Amino acid sequence: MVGYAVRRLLQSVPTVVVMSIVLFAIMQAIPGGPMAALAFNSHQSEAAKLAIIHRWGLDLPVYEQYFKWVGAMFTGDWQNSFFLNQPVNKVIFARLPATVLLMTVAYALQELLAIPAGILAALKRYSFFDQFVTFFAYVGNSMPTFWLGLMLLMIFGVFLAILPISGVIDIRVAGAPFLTPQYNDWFGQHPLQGTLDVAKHIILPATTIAIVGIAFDSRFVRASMLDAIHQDYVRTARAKGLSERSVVLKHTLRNALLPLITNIALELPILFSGAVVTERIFSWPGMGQLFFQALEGYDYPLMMGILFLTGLLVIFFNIVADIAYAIADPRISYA
Amino acid sequence: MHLGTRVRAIALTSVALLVAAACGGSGGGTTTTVLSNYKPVPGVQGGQLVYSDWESVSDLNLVSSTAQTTLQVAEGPIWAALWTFDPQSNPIPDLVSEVPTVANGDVKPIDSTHMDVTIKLKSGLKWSDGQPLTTKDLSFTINAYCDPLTGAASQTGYSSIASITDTSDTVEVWHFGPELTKSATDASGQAVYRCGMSAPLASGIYAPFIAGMGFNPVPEHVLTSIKHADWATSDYFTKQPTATSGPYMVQNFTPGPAAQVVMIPNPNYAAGRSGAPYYNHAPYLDKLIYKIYGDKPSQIAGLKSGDTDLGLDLIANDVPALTGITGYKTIAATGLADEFLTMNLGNHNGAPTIFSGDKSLRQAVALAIDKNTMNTSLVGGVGKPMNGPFVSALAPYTDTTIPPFQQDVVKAGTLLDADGWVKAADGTRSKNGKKLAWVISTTSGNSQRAAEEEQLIKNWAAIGATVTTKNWPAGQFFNGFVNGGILATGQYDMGMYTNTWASDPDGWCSTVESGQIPTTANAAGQNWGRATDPTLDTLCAQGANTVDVTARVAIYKQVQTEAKDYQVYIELYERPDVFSAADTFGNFAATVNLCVAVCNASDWFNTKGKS
Amino acid sequence: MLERAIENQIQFEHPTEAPGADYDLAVKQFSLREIIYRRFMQHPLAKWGVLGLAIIMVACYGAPLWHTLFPNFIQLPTDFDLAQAGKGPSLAHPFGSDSLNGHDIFSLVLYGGQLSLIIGIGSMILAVVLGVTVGAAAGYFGGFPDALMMRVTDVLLTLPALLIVPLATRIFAADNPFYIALIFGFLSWQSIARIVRSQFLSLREMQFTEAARALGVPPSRIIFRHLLPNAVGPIVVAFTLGIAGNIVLEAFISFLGFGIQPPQYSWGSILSGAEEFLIVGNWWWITFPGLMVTATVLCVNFIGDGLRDAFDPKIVN
Repeated sequence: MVGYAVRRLLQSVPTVVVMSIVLFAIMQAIPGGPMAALAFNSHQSEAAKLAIIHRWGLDLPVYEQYFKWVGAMFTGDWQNSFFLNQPVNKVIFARLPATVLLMTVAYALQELLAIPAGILAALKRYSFFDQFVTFFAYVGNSMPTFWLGLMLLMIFGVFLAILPISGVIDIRVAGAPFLTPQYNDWFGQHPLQGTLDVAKHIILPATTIAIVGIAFDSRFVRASMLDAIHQDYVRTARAKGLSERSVVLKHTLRNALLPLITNIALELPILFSGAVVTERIFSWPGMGQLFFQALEGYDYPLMMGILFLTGLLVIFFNIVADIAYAIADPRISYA
Repeated sequence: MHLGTRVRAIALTSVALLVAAACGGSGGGTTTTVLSNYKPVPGVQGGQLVYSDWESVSDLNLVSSTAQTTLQVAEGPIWAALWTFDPQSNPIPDLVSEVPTVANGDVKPIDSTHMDVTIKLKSGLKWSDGQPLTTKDLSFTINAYCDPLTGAASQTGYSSIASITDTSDTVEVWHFGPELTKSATDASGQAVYRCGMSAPLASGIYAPFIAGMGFNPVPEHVLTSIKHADWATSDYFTKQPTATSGPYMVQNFTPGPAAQVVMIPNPNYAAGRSGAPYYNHAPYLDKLIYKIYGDKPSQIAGLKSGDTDLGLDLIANDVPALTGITGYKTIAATGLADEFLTMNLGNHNGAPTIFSGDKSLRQAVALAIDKNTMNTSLVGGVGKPMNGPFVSALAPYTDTTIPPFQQDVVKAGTLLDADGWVKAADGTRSKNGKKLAWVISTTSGNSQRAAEEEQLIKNWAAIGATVTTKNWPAGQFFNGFVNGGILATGQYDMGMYTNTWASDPDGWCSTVESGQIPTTANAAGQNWGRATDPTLDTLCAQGANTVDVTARVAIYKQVQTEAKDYQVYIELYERPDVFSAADTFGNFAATVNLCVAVCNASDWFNTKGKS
Repeated sequence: MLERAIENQIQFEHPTEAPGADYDLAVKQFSLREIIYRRFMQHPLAKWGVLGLAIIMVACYGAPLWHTLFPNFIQLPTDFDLAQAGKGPSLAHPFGSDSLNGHDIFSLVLYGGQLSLIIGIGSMILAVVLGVTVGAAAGYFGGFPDALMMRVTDVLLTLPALLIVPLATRIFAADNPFYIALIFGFLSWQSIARIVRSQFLSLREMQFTEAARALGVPPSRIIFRHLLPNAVGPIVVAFTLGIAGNIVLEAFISFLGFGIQPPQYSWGSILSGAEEFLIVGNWWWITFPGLMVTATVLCVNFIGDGLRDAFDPKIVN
């Protein structure tokens, strides 16, 4: 098992190398080069520009620049964000919690609705409910996420005006920005109030992300449920005279949901993409919003940092998914 | 106060336009003492205010930031200035006991290239940490501005200070002059920058220049241990400024697109201020919060829900959304920014553009535009259609005798007929086989600008011109000459964008002087239209070399007359800044000048829940 | 990555699997093509998808004709009426007007569909060409070319298109539909390459391939005559679903101001100024173009699903 994991990790090394080359090439392709954003700031003095050029080795041949850049990326020196004036890795990691929170809540919401819906649809195949789930899956899968978010924002935030449409907390309630020491102190004293505040803000963005996921997962659960129901051991259980409830809960469900669990890692990129879009729509202070801000501000170091990290995470979770499959499915040999 | 002008994502300005800044108000900065008519009402103690923007705040770098969003919290609430400005651009003494003028003897012209300016601080001023605020802090700050490693937003003015004499803790004299004292070395051999590093002032020294130098000092006792090059990344400017001089101090700051600055009263603000005519009391509020929403709709929603008491950085398009909000008033103010067209008189794609050498065509193109409709339909009627090169905030230089603009398609047609542009049966015109057609360029991804282009194209179709669009991302459009910027390198026929002008007309002149055409040798040149008008060159040089304000006004009126005839730029409208303020917000002063609308933060109060 | 997950997950299942539904296919005289056609038509939604998409395409590409026939009802994208700016749906303007210059949104949606559809379809045609070339070369030759090409594929699957596309359009200053389609195409071929490669890997060792090789048939002929036809099914399905994905992506990118921009209209660029006016209560500007995207994508997904079933080798008759 460990051997398989190590081998899988080693296999991903070339992917990481190619990814770094692709990102470096993108940076070179920017009109004006990676210094474009600096040129944009006409207040940057010549001396300061030269210092930056030298620090990043932009006066070196391209291949040397590449090695220098890659070396810096792997030693944690991700340059300073042009518009935030802070180390890129620091900026990104400060934004990560908000994105993780949004993705977690969205995923929980999605499974909470998708699993029962999928099971019920499978048990009552071809019923009205089943048809409805199918219809919902099709439509949910066809709506552009950004548009869905705007529709929810318009209905619940503008016309009904019952839910907040931006940010993660109400600063009037908390008195300090999200996750600052003051906020954490305040939250420690008012856990209920604080949780309610965040909950109110997270409903719309999380629902936006979850709807797409529900469309995927309800069909997935339904299919694997149907698959499980037709297995021999279920028939045996039924033949033994076990109650239908017991058959469903004990025998079918466990086997039907196993693939779903191993699928989490594969769903992460979809969740992440969803988060990127909804963060932009709902001003959620996470990585997705940060990326578009960086793009609009020509902050290439920040953009490259976000892309690099995203790539690493996706590769990592791919490995996790493969290992999870290997564990879950004994037919895959990992000797 | 920065001399630096303000940069925004939408109203992007080339900051280098600021060649010389002076106060632009009615009598501001002139040799006579003009008392401000700023009359704050006494406030109510306690409570909190939340004011907001929607564009990100990256740091609190008072010295080198050019971001309006940063200055909106740095200049006023956090750091006090030597003097601020009222909405009419008259200076209001803040840290100083009097604003230096020739009349009060604090500005002493010596000869054509030398001048002494005496700065008199109020006595007993303190930083928020209790340390005294003295002239040492002023010299320290000026010295930092002059070191390029500090990356100060602008060195204009400071770079002409040859030396400084600290007479006492409250009095110091700035000696302006051409002496080069730059870059001495200290004992360790490290370069020490001094001011006076610029070339001798070719243009002499003029007094209006001084008004713009009411900067916000930074504390020597905190920053002296930090190298100038490290200021931009220091905790003091990026996290927590520990000693500040404004009415409020930072309790907590989160940077970024959802930035928030939570401020509490500065306990030492009132020290040394009692008895002064302005800013003479401790701050009123218990808490002042500056909140960034990340995008405009969220900010407007925040106003609607009462989440924020003041919305900054709004534009005309937002007016319909704002007017319906109960308990808030919408305030529009035009100032130094205008939206205009630049016709490229140089070469594009290796050949002269259709506009070069054809003044009649340029005038006809201007006459055909329906500026009033553009203002009412796309600027909510709160912009100000222009008919001359100077924005109205450039008073007293702006020529108020120029009549309001009137679209005149017939006259445009006559001009074109006389110029040899023959109208064909299908209504299009051509001259010597060349069709009357050009490409208009602006920043892409901006729906308002796209709508403006669409209206313009329709206007020009009426005079037989076929106009198409080619828009560019702002970064490429405004990029520098060296990096192939579209405007700077002249890869366009006609460009449309906004400038926020320096408050002295000399800044405008830098966009028409033939010496300012960008070239490899002069990459920072601002004459993107490639104008070459000897009359304008002469007049602009005269204006820059004249000290007397009345004489300058006369010269710049001639500049405007000539520029209107030469017509390299077509000014469309003065771009309004829109504010939405709660009715309970006390002493809000909408300002569009060197002083952003937050300069009087120490007078702000909130009557919400009080009677 | 996204594509892979979708492949794993969207297995829409429907009553055709019900016992007896394929009754008439039991007669073995049908050609493969006919079987595929019949299976496709038996999908309960696919034919409606074809009908819906046909209506949308006729409506959009016929727009110049509609304009000639009903000049007051269907306006040119360059036509606008400032007096109508910000007006809600009415008989004359069923989708209302935008809040800037007052274009008729219904007309814009028809004209905008032309670019949205051509970008969706064009980019996937490029993706198929690239994907088949890369996948076939990798799968046929194996070894180092295979390893290299698959690493590149992995990387492109790793970086979310949502982040790369706006960056790419920014780099190339591309507001031109041709370049947008090109960028989309270059970022959409990975899953097709994988499908083709895996098909080739399994077919390469089969006897008919070896026989052809032994007879001295050149690789290109083996690929095009013998291997490729076997991979057509999955390619067609990926092509269809890719169109849906790229139409949505275009809408998002242009909505943000990174893709197609007015005065050129796509379903996304119609929306580019709409977000600001949502708060003023202009709901129609954003709602109707979005509904159009949803309807189109729904139809394409129906078709994709029908094709998946039609080509599915597991359903053997």
